[in-house]
Amino acid sequence: MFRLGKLAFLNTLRNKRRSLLTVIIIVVSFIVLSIFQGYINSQRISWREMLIHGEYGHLQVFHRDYFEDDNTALEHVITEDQFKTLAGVMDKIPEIGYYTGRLNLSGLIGNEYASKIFIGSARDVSELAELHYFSPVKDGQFLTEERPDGILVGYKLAEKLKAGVGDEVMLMAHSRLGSIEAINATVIGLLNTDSYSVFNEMGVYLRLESAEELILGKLYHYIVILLDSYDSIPRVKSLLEAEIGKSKLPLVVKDFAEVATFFMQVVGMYEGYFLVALVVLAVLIVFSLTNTIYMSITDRTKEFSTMKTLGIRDKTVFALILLEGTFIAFFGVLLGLVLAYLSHLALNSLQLTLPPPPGSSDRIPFYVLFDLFRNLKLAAVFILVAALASVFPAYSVIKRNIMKGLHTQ
Amino acid sequence: MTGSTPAAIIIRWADEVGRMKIKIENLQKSYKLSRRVNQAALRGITVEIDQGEFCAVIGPSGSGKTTLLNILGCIDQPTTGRVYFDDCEVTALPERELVRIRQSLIGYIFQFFNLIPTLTAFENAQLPFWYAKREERERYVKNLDRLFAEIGISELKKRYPGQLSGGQQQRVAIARALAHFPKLVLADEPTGNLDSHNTGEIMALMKRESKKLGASFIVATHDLSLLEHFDKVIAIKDGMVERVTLNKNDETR
Repeated sequence: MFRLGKLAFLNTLRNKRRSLLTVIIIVVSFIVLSIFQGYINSQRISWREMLIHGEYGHLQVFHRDYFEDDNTALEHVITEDQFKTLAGVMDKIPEIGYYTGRLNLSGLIGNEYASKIFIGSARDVSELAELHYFSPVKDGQFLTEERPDGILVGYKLAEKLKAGVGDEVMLMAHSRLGSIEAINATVIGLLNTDSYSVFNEMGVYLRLESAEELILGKLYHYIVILLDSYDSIPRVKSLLEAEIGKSKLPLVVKDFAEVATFFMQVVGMYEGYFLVALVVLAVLIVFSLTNTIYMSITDRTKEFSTMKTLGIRDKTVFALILLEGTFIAFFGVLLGLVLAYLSHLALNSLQLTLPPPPGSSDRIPFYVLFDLFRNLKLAAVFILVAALASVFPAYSVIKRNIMKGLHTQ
Repeated sequence: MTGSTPAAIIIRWADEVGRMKIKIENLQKSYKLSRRVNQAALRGITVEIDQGEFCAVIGPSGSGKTTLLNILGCIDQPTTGRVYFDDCEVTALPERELVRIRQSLIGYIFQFFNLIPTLTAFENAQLPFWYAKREERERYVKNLDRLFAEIGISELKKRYPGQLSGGQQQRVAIARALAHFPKLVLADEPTGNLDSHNTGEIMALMKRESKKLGASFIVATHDLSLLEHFDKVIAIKDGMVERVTLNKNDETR
């Protein structure tokens, strides 16, 4: 194997210009894909962390039948006792930094001008400090202890109600007992949730205590849990599941990826773009390398025939050609890895920005995150593609007639 | 070499007794030039080569010398007819067996030397025993050392073909052909690309090694001035044996 490897290596150096051209194509393709991958990577992680620390948390706990219901129904909810039992468990897990319960509800919001249907999210005021990445407040302020009757209303809903910050409204909803309950509230802020526009049209944020007055009970639809890091998710999830099982609570734990399905879809879409780019460049590499190897073996027809005449087996000749292609790819990928890393550093140091997305005036920072493991995977794909690109030329050599080969010049 | 395939048996036998007789029976070969036109290269050649015989195949260009050597070298198959290495009919063997025969029993010397440019002279000469086991390899390398010394190219071992003259390259090619103690050495116009000085030396060298190793040599040539070197001269014309001459003037057929 060493002899074959040495021979293959030396053969790649025979036509340096030809090999170098192929190496350059591989290097450039690798850098392009690595940067693209680095951008997707940085976007994926930054967006993921924004969503986790802005709304979703790392984990969420639901009643096990929650997903079978209308998500504002009060049937499959977490009771106060269940919450307390789980809180006792969560307090003992060091990776859990913060947790809070939330309740969904719907009903009517009205004032002297109009009555409209609202969908509400009851939250603890402490969320402002912990889940602060997105500020949904367009005008006014977030829920606060100082204003127990304060609510936030979607800005479009507020327009329909002709209400602004400081105006009073009334909320009506079904209690858990079936009665219709109402509370007076003051608009202390207007909501603008870009990603979830239905909340602008119909949304109301209110304190958990206010929701309790409406539904006549202390209930939660789900609990949001923040951990010390994303990597802690599997461990904490399994710990909670074990404790839930032990305490026979009718609850399920979902991680961020299970809850934020649209995030995973968008990531999947980016990965799809990446795959398309990978395929396009892989085809380019296949053509380039196949061409290089074909030219090389055409020049060496007599050489291969001589080897076969001397008793070198077809599979050895096949392996030799495959190795030559793989070596070229290996040099390209090795150089590509180093240059891709340096390109990442260079791009990040330039502090480039991308144009702002629709509805925003802030330019997006262009940041690329070099992930060694993902780059090594990419390198492995390149080498595999190169090996495949060498298969056809290698096959053509072993099928070639020895005598004809011996008599070529 | 282990196993009980025909190739394994003949290789083991030839190795044990150190010789091998070649018998060619009514060998015919035709090439298809087009759908309807066949070109006959050999038209029924029958001849025997004894063990250790230093034999020439002569004839004009296109007479079938190279075709005959290709079939004897197990890199081509006849249209009809048989070739025997002792009692083994090699023309009936599959390619896998023929590769083994080529590896073990046959040495090749080409007109244009056919050395691999990325390998040194010594590495080139080791190509025929690429798959040899350690003990065999050591024996062959020892033989190569001897051959390089006798041929006078010991100091060229680490040189690449591009750094050697034509005569030196052909000497390396001869060492390569003899390194693994073949029983049959086929040389297709081995001096065709050499000057007269080198031609004489190469011929003397091949004959000397033929006698030393007991290997049969079959040398295709059109250079009639070389015939004095050979034990047997087979003259071919239009794909048929025109005459076989032993020791210059001893005509047998």
